[in-house]
Amino acid sequence: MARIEGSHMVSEHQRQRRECADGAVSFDGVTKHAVEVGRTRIVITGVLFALCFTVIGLRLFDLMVLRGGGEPALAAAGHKVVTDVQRAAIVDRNGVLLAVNLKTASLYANPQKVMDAAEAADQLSAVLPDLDRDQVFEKLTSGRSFVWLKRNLTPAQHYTVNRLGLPGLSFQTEEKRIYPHGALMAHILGYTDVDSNGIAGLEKYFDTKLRDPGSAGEPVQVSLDVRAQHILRDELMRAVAEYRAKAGVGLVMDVRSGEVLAMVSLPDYDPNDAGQASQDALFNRATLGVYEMGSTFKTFTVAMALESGTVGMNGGYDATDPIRISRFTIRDYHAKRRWLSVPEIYVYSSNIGSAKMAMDVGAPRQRRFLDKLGLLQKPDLELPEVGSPLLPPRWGDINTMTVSYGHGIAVTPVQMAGAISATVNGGIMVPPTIIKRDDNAMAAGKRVMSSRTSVAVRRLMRQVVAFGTGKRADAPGYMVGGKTGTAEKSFRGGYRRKALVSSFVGAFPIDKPRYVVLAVLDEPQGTKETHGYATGGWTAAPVVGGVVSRLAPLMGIEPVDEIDQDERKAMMANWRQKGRAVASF
Amino acid sequence: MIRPITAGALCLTAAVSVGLYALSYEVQRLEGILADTNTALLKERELVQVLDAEWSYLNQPERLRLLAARHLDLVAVDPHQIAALQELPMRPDPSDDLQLQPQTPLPKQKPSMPMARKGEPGGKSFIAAALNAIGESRGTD
Repeated sequence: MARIEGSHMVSEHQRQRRECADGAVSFDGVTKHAVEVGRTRIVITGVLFALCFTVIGLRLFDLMVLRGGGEPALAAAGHKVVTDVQRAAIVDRNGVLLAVNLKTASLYANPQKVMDAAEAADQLSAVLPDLDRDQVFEKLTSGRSFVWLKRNLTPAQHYTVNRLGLPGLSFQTEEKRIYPHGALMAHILGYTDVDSNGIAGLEKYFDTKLRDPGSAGEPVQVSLDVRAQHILRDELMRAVAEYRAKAGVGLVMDVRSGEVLAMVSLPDYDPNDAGQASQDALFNRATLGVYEMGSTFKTFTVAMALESGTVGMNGGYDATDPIRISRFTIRDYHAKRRWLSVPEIYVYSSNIGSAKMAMDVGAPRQRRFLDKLGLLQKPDLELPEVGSPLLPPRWGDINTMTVSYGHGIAVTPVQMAGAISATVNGGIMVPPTIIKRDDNAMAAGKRVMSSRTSVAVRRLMRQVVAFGTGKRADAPGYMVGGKTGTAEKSFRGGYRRKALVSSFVGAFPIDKPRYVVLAVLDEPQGTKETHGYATGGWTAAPVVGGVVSRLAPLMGIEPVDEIDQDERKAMMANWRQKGRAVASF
Repeated sequence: MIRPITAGALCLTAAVSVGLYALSYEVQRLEGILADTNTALLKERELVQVLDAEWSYLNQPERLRLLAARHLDLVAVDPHQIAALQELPMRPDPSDDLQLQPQTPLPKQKPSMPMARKGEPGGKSFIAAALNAIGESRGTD
């Protein structure tokens, strides 16, 4: 700065000299020097002010002319009100509210300010019956300055406590997670703790997204449908009660998008009061539980054999004698003791036939095929509770045989539904999801088998319901196709004959499948009506039939005239045997 | 010359200052209203959310089913009740005397009664009511 001033001085001197030369004004000595200093300072100040005004002027020009139009947008942006709830809502595929945070009042006390603890305790326990009088008294005489008395009062309770007018009591506004549909979607939604942290289900999986203030309370939309869920739960609960089953699992899946439309695991619990639920009820059997699915796996065995060309629809295998391999004997429950065609093996559910069919294909190809259907790996689902399948430790001949009819491999029901969807939808594997997806998900899926194979398997599935073990799954007009499954539960290295896992997996309408319905019952007991049978065809199939007949009209599926000859012919498979009646298994 | 300019400038400054202050207070007032409105809006939204939750609660499918069974004479649609447009019979020729001969009616079958479960109202009522009505009208004949 000093140097700049110096240079000014120099120029001033020169100017002075010129002015002197003109003879206008001139000073001498000290006076002259003082005047020059004064002038210099005025000039510097003037320049500084000029600079300031220029800056202000430019800024004004910028604000008024250049940024024209910016302000209205800014003002409009200020109008966006963000709800200040701590946790976003969860809605179903049609926007029905499934979980929401509501503000409630929580009652606390400052015991140091409570006048008469005994009377306060009496009055509080009178209006809030679930409070224990002695506990309240103890809290009010604790001498601390803050004790919770009751969290999340209802508006009516809030009002009555307020009306008591007790000194030393106060309310704190808190949020509580409410599940308006109670137990209906318990295992999908999960639940939260008292401070609104998700600790199970979707609440846990999407915990950070749900509490993210940036998403401004944008709800998470699941793929489930409240109505479908209710139908499935209703039918499954009836079956569980009727056959005194330990547990039940139900799934409805859209075969084209892989979206889960309904998913039920019984017993379930009320997420509004999850603390009271038993460990058994909290367990999500549909995604975390693994089951040996039994004969429903024959669907994949047949598809695999047809796809790899080792046998055609007209081919068959000799199922006269049981297969003995190492210490096992593979036999049929209702043995025909003769040569069986491929459709017969499937419809009569012959273990011997499917074991031979799988042996022809071979272990490596079987493994690859099941892997492509997503049965050998942990499914990628938007839930924290997802189980890994239990696979044979080494895949030898014996494993190839048992896996062909669904033993020695345990998968989760959601994997099963996903694999069946891929089998019936024309051969495209779409990974299952519980979050709403757009309809073109099938385009992004992977082809796992030809559509020809898919059509052939669909016909076989229709035969099972029309003439075979799955008759009780039929829903007139909606062309159900499916496969029954009955597996003995493994127990201490062996199998228990009386403890069964009975299942039925169906798809409808089978000529152009839209939905897959799966029902699994854990240890059902036969009744008089089922002649003592507890197999899939007797216990699980009616669940699927019931779900289809109630769900199909809801989903706008047009019923077909099954008596119509063309319809019948279209779904006929090559049927070698004349006899149609097949014993239930 | 310098005086009128100074006077003018002073007047202008005063006017602009007054204008600016008025504007500033107006903006403050409006911002206050905006904040109040936003608070009110937030409160209303909370109330709406409570109502949404209640609406969802009242629309529990099981509750609706029970209410429908109690108050409505409706049963689930039977596949036989649905017919395609092309299945409709052609309009009979008015000159044809044989038009009165019976044709296959549409729907082909009466709805079955699958929804009437033990111990539940509904289901029975529709046809029962119809039969009762017929019976009554016959009685008055």
